[in-house]
Amino acid sequence: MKSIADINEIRAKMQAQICLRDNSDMEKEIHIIVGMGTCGLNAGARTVFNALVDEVETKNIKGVLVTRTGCMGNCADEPVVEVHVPGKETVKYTKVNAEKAVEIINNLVKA
Amino acid sequence: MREVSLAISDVAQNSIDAGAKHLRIAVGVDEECISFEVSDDGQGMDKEVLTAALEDGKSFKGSSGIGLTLVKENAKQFEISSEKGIGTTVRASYLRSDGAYLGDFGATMLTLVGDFDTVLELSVYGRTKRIDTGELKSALSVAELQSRGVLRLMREDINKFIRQNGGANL
Amino acid sequence: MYRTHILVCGGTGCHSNNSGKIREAFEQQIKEKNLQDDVLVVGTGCFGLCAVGPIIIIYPEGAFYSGIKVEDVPEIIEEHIIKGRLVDRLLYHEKALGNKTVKSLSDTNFYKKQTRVALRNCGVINPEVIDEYIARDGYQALIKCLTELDPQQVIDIVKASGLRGRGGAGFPTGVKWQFAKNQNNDTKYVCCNADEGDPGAFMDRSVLEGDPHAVLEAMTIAGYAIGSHQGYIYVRAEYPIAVERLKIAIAQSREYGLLGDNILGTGFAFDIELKLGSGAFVCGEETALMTSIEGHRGEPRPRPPFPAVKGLFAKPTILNNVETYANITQIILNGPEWFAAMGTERSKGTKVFALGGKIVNTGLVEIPMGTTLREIIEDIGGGIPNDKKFKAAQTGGPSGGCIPAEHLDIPIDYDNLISIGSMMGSGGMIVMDEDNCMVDIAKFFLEFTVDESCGKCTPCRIGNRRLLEYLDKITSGKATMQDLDDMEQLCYYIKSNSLCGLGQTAPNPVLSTLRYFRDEYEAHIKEHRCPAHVCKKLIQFKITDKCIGCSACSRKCPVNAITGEIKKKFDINQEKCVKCGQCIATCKFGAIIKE
Repeated sequence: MKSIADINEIRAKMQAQICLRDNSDMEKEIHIIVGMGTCGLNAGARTVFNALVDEVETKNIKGVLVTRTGCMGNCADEPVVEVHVPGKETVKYTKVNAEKAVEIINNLVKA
Repeated sequence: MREVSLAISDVAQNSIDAGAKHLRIAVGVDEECISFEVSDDGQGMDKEVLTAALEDGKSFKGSSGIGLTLVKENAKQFEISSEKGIGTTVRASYLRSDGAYLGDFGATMLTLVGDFDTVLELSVYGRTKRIDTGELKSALSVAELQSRGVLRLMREDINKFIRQNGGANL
Repeated sequence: MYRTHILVCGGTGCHSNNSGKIREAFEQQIKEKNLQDDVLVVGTGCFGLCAVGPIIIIYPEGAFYSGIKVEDVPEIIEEHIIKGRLVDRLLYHEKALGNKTVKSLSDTNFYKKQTRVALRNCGVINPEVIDEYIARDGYQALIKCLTELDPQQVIDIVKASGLRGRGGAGFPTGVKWQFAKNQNNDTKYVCCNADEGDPGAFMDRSVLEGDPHAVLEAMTIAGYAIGSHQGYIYVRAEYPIAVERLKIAIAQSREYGLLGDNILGTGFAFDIELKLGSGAFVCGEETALMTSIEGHRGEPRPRPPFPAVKGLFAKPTILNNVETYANITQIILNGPEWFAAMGTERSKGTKVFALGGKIVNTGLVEIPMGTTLREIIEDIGGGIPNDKKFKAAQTGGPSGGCIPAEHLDIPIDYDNLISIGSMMGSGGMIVMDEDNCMVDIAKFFLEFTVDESCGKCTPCRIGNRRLLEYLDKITSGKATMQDLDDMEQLCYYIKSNSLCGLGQTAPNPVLSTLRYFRDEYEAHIKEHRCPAHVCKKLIQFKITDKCIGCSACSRKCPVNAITGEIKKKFDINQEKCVKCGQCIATCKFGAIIKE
């Protein structure tokens, strides 16, 4: 006999497999942009970009697109991450690292 | 910048900023050096702009203007050719004895799947691997590739290929 | 971790087209290529687009292959799975879009306009693997009910959602549950009506085949809400796949402790038993169904007392249809507001229809209430094949009626359908074009009810037989206008005097065709003519001057009614002709016509 915790564990484990079959994420809404000019790259923008993509996948979030862009003009504050949510003001995060990237995605989930 | 993957990413960003729709990245590794070539079909530069582009601190797009200079100075060999309206090709070669290493190229490649198509030709000690992000995108959108872990698999695949053929320190 | 999932439809439609063999072929060949760790082959429930089955979907691309044969399997594996290239030849072609190839399932008009609530897992999960159901939030609604809500709160949620019975009558589900809860009795029952019997309706079968756990979970929730510990699913034995999957699902649920004495350690006890019906249509009527579960002959009994007061084994009982239950878990999880936001003012949520008849996309569709018939037929259904003209849609099966072209734009809900003389019914929708004779259609449905009448009450047993005799007379060209009036009178008599729903609704197909197509009845009576050239006794087959005398028809005619000399015009002996239509199908020159 399973407990509620067991059921939730099965659910988490199986969701990772089943999500492959979900085509409801066809329309993307949230756009995350990472500055990847020379300044950004040297400050670790690539790690941030990868962390964002990984977190979107592990959290199984639909409707998020992560893309790169060039220098955003805040070289001293790199890596810079911009988050565009439709109908909301654009948020710019500065000096982002992998941990902060996870936090950014967590905040999106909550909202 | 001794991690060549970062230099490639930097040069590729110039291509993207130049409005390139197609990027071709060739990376070659042997005992002595790591070389790469990035060519694009972006807007290209005329002679005047090209000369200025290689000057430290000069930028035509509001950035710091240090990218190409950095690549050039760290490389053993560096070549750039560009034609206005056609595109640009950058070639660079790094000596491994200078401490250059390829680094996390998989992570770089993951960031190069976007609304442009990237063709990667990777050659490590004669063994080759080819990836065309256009093919990936024929089935799924970029966001889907990201959210379903396809790009993560690609990243792991590339790095596994590099480590298997080039060793752990590459 | 699998990088590719191959979903093979295992619904009854595709199953009869060999999808089981296709699935085995995939499994075997994937293994031969040593890809079993990368590729998962999944048998699922019905995808809905039965017309182009067997259907295969390959994820992550969502590539939608239709009409697959066992011989196609190696090519799909070689090209799609190994080389990553879609096999264009086998991709689904959407006829409505000028045969454009559709890459992904969700790109088809058929799916785009649907809202899948009851069918959300059909064609997505393997119905025989409980873990896949759990991954799709399965049993979360039950956990929520058992841990966060008291029974009254559960009923309040169902009431607030506005969910009405999907079996046809449309009684508010929450109200039904409340009646049963209010009864003071230690023993109560939760029943599920899976005795789907309308000709052309197969939505309940598809839910049971594709997502059996959704029904089990909802029944358990219902048990918790009304204070019952035993459920029964009455399913017809003619649904072998559904029965098999239900058995598997019940066994898995018991193993996981989702059914039994102490569900998930909460102390709540509930179990479900399957009862197989033998396919008597009347057993879909709630009182007859319960009589049948009790082990007696399936005959209805008068109401009141209603089942909520005195139902199965004379105990308070709720009886809901499969599709109704399939909505419950989603209402609990997403909230009644979410559900009530879909649909019309008095009909909330979605409804599943089984599209059949003269329509391109035969299959199963789920649409929000309030969608127009035009959207269902033209956009989702892909229109009428062969450029024919739409004549009517029949909804509600033998209890329902026809909706003519003039009402194509009416938003579909319970009340609107009744106001135009039809009914929602369980969701069968048969589309008819100009080649269908409406008198013949009415006769078809009445023959069905006459066969299925249990015989307990006179109006239904004898009344409907007399009604059929009138229709026979009309389609033979022997009726008078007086007969037409008498027939109409008889309809109202049967409706008001029959014991149960079967008899009370049996004349509906006649009444609704009379209402919208009286001219066709009159043509049969006054002019001895069947305008659609269907009624055999009123048509003649004739050979025209186009005949070149090839003798093909004469060789095909089963009764040797066609004779003639080679290279000269042949002739049909009307006495011998049985109007089978074989000659028309055989003639290459269009020389044979019906009059």
